[in-house]
Amino acid sequence: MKARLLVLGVVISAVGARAQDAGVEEVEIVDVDDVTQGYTPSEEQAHETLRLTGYIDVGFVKATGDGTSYVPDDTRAPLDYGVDPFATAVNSRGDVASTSSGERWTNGFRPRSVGIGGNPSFLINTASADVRFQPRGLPIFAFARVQLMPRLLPTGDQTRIELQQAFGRVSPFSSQEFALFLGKFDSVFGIEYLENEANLRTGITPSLIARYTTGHSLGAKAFYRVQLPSAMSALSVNAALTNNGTRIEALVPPDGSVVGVPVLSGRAGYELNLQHVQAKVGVSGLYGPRNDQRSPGARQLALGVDARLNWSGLSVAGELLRLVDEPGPLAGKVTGQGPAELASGFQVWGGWARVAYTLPWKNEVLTGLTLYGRYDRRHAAFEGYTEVRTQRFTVGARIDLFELLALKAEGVLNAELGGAPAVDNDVFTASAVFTW
Amino acid sequence: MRSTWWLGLLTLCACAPPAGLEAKLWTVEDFLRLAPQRKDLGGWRADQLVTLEGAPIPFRSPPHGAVEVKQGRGYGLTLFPAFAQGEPAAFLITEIWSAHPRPWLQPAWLMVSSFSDYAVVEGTKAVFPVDAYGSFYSPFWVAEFVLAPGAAENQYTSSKAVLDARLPMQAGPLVYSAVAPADGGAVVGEGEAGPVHPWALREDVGLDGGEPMSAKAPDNGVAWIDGREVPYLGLGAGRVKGYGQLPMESELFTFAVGGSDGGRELLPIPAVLPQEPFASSYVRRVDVLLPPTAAVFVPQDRAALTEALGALGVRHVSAPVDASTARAKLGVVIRDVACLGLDAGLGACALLDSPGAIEPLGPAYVIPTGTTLAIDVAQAGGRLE
Repeated sequence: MKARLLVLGVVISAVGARAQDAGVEEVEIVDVDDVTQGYTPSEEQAHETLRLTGYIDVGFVKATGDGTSYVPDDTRAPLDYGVDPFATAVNSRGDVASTSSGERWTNGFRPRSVGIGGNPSFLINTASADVRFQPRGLPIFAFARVQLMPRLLPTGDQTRIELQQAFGRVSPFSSQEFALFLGKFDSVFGIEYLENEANLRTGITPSLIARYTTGHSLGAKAFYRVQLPSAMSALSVNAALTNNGTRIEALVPPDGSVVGVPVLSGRAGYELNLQHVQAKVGVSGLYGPRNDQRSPGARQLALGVDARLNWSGLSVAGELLRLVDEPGPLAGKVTGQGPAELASGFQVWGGWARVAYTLPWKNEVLTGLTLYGRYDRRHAAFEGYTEVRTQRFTVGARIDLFELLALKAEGVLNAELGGAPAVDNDVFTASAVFTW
Repeated sequence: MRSTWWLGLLTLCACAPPAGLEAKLWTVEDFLRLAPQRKDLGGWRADQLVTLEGAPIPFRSPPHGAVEVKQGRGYGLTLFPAFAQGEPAAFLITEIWSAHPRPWLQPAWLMVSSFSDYAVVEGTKAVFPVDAYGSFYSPFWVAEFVLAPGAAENQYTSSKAVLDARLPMQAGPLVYSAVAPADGGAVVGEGEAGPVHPWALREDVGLDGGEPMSAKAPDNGVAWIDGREVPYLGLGAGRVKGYGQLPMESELFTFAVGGSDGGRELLPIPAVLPQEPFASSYVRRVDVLLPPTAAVFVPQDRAALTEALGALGVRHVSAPVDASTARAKLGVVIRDVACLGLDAGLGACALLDSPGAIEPLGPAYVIPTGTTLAIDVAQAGGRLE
């Protein structure tokens, strides 16, 4: 099948952009040559109406220390406010090696954990299955993605099942790139959500700000893009009204509105498509009530800018974020992992920049070899708490074989610059992603 | 939270006010800021909680006292009259929480030269991990002794500096230190050496041999928070008990009138402190409504208090008692005034001046509120603290 190409490096960025622009978050089917051209489904695809796809992400990971970012003598409360519990991410979901705080209190600012502490371990990071349906000749498209995450928890072996996406899309005008979505779909904020899935992500671990921008949302979305052929450019707008905004489900649950008022989020983008160079920039925004507490009066606001440049195998991308939460006036906090005591006032700025280079070697077996490095920075403060300033260097490599298997290895070096105590929380992680 | 740039935007959006009770924390700094507005903070007006320099001290000045006593240097936290197991006492309030979860205990790191005598290294200051404006502040800290015999004066000024050093630590007692602006403490009258009981001394004659009862004044200290020097009021160790990372909650019984909708008004009479007042500084305000048979004891020479209670529709009575008893029992609630026979005094009466006397009234009269407080019991039992 010509399609079903595991894209890499520059290709990944282009595919991601296409996925974003078209509002379809699954792996798209493109040829390398298509990257600088418009998307054209293969003949085979054009006749498919029901398709099953997916991937399996198998990991082998080792975090230093005890797998958390907590210092043994640190008795501050809540403990998760004084460090970055997300630092020890081991996979593309952002799951960390451990969140165990012992008897010390936390307040719901925690990622999901694979529960291995500092031990090296194999993992099924994700087993993901997609089903999509597009009747021939009709402007309607339906998509659902179910994911399974087997984990060893303190309560025993458990497999979490998540309906990560489930939406319908209507494209009412055949002459316009305009689509309406209803259901649970990807974020519209920034660009990192385009690489949420392990098979699409160049590397393995998400950035330090991914927790704020890459969550899935339940609601309604509209996408519109207009091509400017004379300028070899396009302008696009993607806007959503959702229950929860764009934070990941571990922090803010998407599947119901806690406050009854939707969150508005969106991105406006410009892209320049030359023959060998592609550049994209965008600005994103989010405004609405916090969906992790019960008062519509407590608001969240986020602003972001992003940029990507692809040129001859070289891919440069980056994103900046500023986000502010008002404190929830009522006691209680709702997270995807259960209740906590207080929805505190919060503010963060952060960003990342990544350089990736796809080497010009390719044959039927080796379909891609990409080297990459990323720098992350995050400054975040909960109300009344010391500002935590952290940075991260990530380096790695990705090999694609037969266009179906991605082998990735990555080193993640975290550093606490201020606020949080220095702690041994670096990560080595490897991943094999089989896509069908 | 430094977010004024977008809070302005929020204002433009005319957001709907939140429903339900808001979780609030007010500190001494808030008392001072809100005093000019006379804002209600959990049942106490801000200007009643704190007395500014030169202002009349509540309960000691008219209408309660015969002469005006002005606050001396700096601000003073008001001493409220109270009973501790039936004896005159007083307390001041340093923090008020409303509809707020129980505060969590934070560590306070103290650099000591050894783990034998826990002597604080000269020149060093305590390090607090959180500031007083956030939800995670409370004035109750778990002392963490850090073995740092050679510590320089400014070497450890933040939680990161302390934790990064990986020095040996030992947990110590709970200490009560309220972050508060410098140049203040308990109310102290001009020319007086220290705080005195608020109103048992109308004629400047105390219960113990004619001298005013003194109260221990809080110590003024300075600690580090994230590299900044922050003043605090040191109120001592062992003033609250804890379990896990929470302080134990006790009950402060406050007499009130009004409905059950939370709109009750506190009466200007002594509250009743918990059974162990010096070790129970984290308290919940529990309102006590007066049963139909009850009345407040007010000696005849306390016209101002009589008028105040009368205006609130509160029954009050006098009784033939000696001057010392009159001062000691001023404002006490008599459970059933039928006990007052001719010339019998208060001896035959059940007085609501201890938790054990109040609790049997039952839930119709004893009503816990959503307000909790950090209080310092300035004196109890008529003895010097």
